[in-house]
Amino acid sequence: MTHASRGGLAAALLASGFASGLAGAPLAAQGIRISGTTWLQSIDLRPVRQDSVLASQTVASGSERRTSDGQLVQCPGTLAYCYYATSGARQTTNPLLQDLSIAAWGLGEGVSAHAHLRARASVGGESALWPRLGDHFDALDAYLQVDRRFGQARLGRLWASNGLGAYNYDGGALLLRRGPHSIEAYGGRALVQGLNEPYTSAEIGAVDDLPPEDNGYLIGVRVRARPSDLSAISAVYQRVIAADRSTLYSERVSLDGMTRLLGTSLDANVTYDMAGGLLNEARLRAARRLPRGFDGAVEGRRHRPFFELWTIWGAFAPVGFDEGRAEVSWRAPREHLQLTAHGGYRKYAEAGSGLAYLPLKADGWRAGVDATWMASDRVSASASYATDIGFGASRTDLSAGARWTPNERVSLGAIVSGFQSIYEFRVGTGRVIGGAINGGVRLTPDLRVAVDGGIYRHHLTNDAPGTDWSQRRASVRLEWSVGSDPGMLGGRGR
Amino acid sequence: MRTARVSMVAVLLSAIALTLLSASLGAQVYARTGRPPFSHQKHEHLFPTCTGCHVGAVTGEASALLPPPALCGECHDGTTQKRVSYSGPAPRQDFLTFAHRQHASQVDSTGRDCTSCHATRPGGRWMDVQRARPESCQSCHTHRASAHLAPDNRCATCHIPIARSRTITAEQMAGLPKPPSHADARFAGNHAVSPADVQLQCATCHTRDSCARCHVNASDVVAINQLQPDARMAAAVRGKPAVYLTPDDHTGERWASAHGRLATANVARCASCHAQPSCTTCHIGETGRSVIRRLPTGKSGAPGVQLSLPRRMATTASLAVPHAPLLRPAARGAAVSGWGDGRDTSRTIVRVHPTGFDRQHAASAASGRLTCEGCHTKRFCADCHAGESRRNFHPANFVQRHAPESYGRDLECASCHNTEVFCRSCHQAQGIAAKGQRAGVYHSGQPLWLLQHGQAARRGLQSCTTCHTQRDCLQCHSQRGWGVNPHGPDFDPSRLGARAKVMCARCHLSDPTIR
Repeated sequence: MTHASRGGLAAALLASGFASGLAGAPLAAQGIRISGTTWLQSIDLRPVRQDSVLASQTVASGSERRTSDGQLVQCPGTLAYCYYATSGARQTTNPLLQDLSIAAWGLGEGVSAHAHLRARASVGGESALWPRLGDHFDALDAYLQVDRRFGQARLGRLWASNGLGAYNYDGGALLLRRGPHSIEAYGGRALVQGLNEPYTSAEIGAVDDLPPEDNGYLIGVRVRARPSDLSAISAVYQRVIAADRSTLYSERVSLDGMTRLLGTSLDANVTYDMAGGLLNEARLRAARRLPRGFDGAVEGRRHRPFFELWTIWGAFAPVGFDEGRAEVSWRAPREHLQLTAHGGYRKYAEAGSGLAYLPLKADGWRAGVDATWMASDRVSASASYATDIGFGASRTDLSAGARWTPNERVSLGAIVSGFQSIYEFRVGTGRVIGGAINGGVRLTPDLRVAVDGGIYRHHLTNDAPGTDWSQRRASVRLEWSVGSDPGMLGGRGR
Repeated sequence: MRTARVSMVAVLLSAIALTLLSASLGAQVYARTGRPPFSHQKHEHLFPTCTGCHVGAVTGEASALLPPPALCGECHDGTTQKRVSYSGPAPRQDFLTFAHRQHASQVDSTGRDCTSCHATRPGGRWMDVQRARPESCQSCHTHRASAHLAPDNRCATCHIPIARSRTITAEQMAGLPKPPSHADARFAGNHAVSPADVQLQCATCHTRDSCARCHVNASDVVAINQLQPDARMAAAVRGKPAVYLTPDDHTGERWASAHGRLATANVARCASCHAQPSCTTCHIGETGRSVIRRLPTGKSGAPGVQLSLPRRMATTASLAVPHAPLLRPAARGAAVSGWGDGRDTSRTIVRVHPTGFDRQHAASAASGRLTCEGCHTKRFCADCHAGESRRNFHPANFVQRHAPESYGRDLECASCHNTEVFCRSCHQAQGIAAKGQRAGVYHSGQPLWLLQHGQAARRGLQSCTTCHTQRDCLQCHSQRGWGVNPHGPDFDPSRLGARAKVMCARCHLSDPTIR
């Protein structure tokens, strides 16, 4: 049995145990609520495929050539063939996603059980076109919780959401609180961030040729304090170590804080990679309400990417950038109109690689404006324009949409968008123009149906590889709930 | 014959209608002008004293306060003078505790007379009189009231509780004058009075129904329960919207974070205006539930401040709603023109998060500044951070235009997406990632890519890894490959080697940390 299959079995056992626990729960629990989202999509596109042409049929010489009809091709070395990318036949993929959220409470004072399960399947078309359709079952979380005034204990598959991101793991967490202050310790078998699978999962092995050889264990401590009503601070230490203790996968700390001084809201966060001795992220943002309906914010940021140590990427000495951002927004007195303008400039650190006379762009900037108009309680519209010029890819886009909400149960929206991309690393400029409509209706307080569909047309404008990215997409989503009502109806549907 | 009968009935009905109309008009004139419909001045030469007609003012007999019709009929007999439509004194309003008889002795002893209260102006002509005004009372009574409707007045000196009145109608209750103090911005938060004052002042114009119009917890408040219920007042306030003025402390910048503590300490204060739905609009999680449950449940149509979250006005991202910091009233016709002191906030849009919070919430969530669990379940985070969210976090068609975001790291993609499995598997399936090839098609338009890719990789390595596997790079950058050194100038081999020697062994045939 592989590590991955053992992990899947563990998840299945965990879910089975939870389900069997629920089966008996009605005997004791005051309530059980099950919410589900069934989401069926259909995406139609033309994947890129590589084609070749005889070198003798190309024009010019060297590694970059053209065919007689102008197609840009790459001719490596002395091979008799040159290669180029083109669009393959149109294919469709129809992924089906089923989320199930279960909560049972009243099992005892402060005792409750929770689970968030996810199932995936392909109901037609080419399943490989959609990520993870081969992974049919996921338990995002499944845990028992005891919550008392002085603290909280959880056991099962849990989330650790903190300044380092959102990780889930199989283990336990104990939180002690005193007033607004708390300390939490957690640990267990680590799951890969964003994957909900163990480190030895076959899913990583399928896409990476040097996957981790052993599972990981995660331990962490989080301290939160609120010195005043307007201030809060949190510190986290988190470590993931290989199960055989031969190597670290990561060791990081983060510090997050917020306060308000003289009417200015300040928030900051720092994440530091203790294993690599690198500052990954440092950010300070100041926001303030200005006279006459204006709000303003400025932000300074230093970013350097983080890589776990089971990959070699951290040893490639990636560099980061420093960025400054600013934003100003204005609201009409009755708030029916809001305008926002924002911009930012980033400067990359010296790469220490390559040839001086072949420099790549070492900075980037972005800017944009957004407008939102509430024509009435029922009709709203929004539009935005943004441009992002970077060292690897650039884009300018424009979008506009409107939404009609005749009542609390029904909504209908439409959006049109267009953008132009300039790929520095893949020379070529293209435009994509499209539109989408979406709508939803709440049939009963516990049942809502939403549908959307869109068409996007790709137009090549110069020598970009001859790929056609035109796509058609549609989806239908069913959101439902059954079971007891815990008495908290206000947030339903959000 | 039949026609004659009909005519007689018509005349009779007309006479009755005219009589009633004239009486009604007379009452209206009296109410509006304070002057009785009877013209005293026309009779000023006939009557030398007041008590000739108003003997009840001295004897205390209510029925004798106004003259009997027969007294008028001595002259207005149709011969000497034309007849008048006067049928005798109407039932007197019993809203006052004032009695003429009690004042009769003072009139005698102090030298005052009827004109002291009833003269239109001091020193006016004989019988130029009007209904006594409240100010007349206050000229003698020494309770230091600055005005009839001033808050320092003692209503019970002259008035009985309105619920005890048997003559006042629902319409009259609805038309009672509103003291200026009640319109003050701070009145909503400061009008709580002692039980004694309730009877001395509030009960003069209010019944329990008056308070229940706005007070969500009217049945639990001792002072309100001291008032009597009254069907006429209930009818008078029926359909009249509740008005909630924002207390001063609700508008402070600390309110968002401090209201929980204050509610825990004194939830009864909250319950004056808020039922449970006010809280559960935001608090859908565990936090505060024990306090929230102590509030009235808030049935449909019951009074209470109605809080709501902003409508999802964005056409794409569900979180991309332009939030303002806190508490703004929803438009309710002309009744609401803004917010703040003195403005009705019966329907208020609660905007908890600032603009752009969907992209800026990391510090708030991590620091615990807003206690996310108070409103959001853990699953709420997973809805987005689990990568295949049903929530539309990204703008429309993001799948086709995400390249600049990936390079610029506007947001950390890894917060929700696993680079290897999510990004790379998709790029491979789409044919963008050329697995295992040094001469892929993606960079085909960059003639000198081989010489430039080092710079690009150092600056955007995360984006590179969305297509390239480790072995793609190790073909050249390892001792097993061409031995091209990938390490940067500030690379610390001993530090990484001490923590992850397995990583070193991916490229190095021997331990590189041993010199």
